[in-house]
Amino acid sequence: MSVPVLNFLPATVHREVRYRRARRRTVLLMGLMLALSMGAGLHSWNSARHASAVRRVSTQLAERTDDQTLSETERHLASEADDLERALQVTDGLVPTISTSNVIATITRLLPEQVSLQGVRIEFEEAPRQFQVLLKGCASSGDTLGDFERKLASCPMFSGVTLSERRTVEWLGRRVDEFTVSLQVPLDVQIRAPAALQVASGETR
Amino acid sequence: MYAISTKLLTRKGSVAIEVDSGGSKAALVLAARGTLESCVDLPGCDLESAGSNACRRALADWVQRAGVAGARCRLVLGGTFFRVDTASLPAMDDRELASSARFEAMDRFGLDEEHAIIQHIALASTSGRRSVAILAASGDRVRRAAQIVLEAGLMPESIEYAALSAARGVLLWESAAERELVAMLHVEPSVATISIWRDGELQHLRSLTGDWSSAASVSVPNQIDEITLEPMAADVGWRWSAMAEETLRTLRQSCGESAWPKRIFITGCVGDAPDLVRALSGVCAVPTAVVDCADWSLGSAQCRGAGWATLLGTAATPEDASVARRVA
Repeated sequence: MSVPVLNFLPATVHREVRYRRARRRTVLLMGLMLALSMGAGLHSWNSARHASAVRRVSTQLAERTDDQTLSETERHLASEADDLERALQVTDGLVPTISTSNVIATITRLLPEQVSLQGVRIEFEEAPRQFQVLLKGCASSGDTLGDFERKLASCPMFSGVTLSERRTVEWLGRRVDEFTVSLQVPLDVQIRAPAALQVASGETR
Repeated sequence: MYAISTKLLTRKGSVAIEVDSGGSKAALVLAARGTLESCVDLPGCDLESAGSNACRRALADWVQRAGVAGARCRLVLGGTFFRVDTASLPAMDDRELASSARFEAMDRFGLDEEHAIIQHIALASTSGRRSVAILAASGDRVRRAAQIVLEAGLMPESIEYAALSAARGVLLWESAAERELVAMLHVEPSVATISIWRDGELQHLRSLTGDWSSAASVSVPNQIDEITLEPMAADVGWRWSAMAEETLRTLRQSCGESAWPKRIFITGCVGDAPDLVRALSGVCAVPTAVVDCADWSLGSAQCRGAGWATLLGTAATPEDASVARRVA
């Protein structure tokens, strides 16, 4: 099937249509170009504003942190670091070295009259660095045992004082409280406020 | 008076407009991407008289409402815009045929070459001669019609002859028509066009002038055997009988006795036209039917009746028609 298409469109109208299409395309193209230009302009303006802000802040920073200020800050920080180092050395000097004998002496000083120790076991632990102390003994009464436990707990040298075992037994014809107390002696240097630095003396605070 | 039928190729695809002559209304079809979106009548649209301003405004309003401003359109003009004739010329090549057809048109129609638009269609060659259908239109009238469409905001890309557009629609949508020898009768209020097609190729083209609008609007109760062949002896019915006689004469001239059309398709502003169908089938002895365009298109709108054949023939592409046939 071939149905002929006879076009009677006059040449003048054809030219007019082409002209209008071209004009329409031109207008659309110009609109597109305008939109693109506006977009590019806005982007450029925004970028320029951003760059200007960055420059301004950089300038302000440069003005405030010149070489002299930096050097002074560095010197100040170095001085502070030296002071802190010396303070640490002093602190290390002030903290006495704790030995097993110190522990036994302190426990002995804290021991009430009606409490006797039957055995002491001191073990050294690496992590954390501390002595693990286990005390076994007899107390004439529960009050005496409680007094001993309080003294141990209030001693700055000791921590974790725990009455792990207690029972009433017959000893030399008397009824006494047999007990087991565990505690720890921290050996790591602890930075404390100067007022809190005390040498274990058996006194309660 | 002009009836405008338009097919618009919208922004989504393409748009076309068709203009018919002799009526008092405009009809528009909006199609996009092969689908029919609307069929619109614009009553009282007259392109060439004082009413052209109203028509221009109505068309412009519709273009704005439909949102198709700037869309391409195809304009189809009715038979009153054209002079149609056939000529038998000696065998010659296509280039010479075009020149000869142009010369014949100016000679036969007495047209001025400067102000006429002339086209031709090569018909089937017989016994060493070449037949050609010559169509000519007044450039001024065509330009005025195109200008109105242009001013309405549309971009006319072609102007076609209504009868050929209707025939294209029939051949696209009536699948049997493209494989047979068929005749088509496109009826407008003052011009009727007879075309004969063999396997989709145009064999003959002829236009008949007459007051077919009054014949179409008056029902004639006569039966086939009552149709008088004497024009002066009856009031209205003779017009259809005269048309049937002229159609018979055309068929004899074009087909001879060897082959006879299988069918006659009627398009245009004829309504149901039972009298015309009876007259044609009785006089020509050929099954005759008025085309109904209701099944011709895909899309949301349906254009019913034979009056939309030109619009849909202009609007549709072969792909649209094949898709529609598959869907059906």
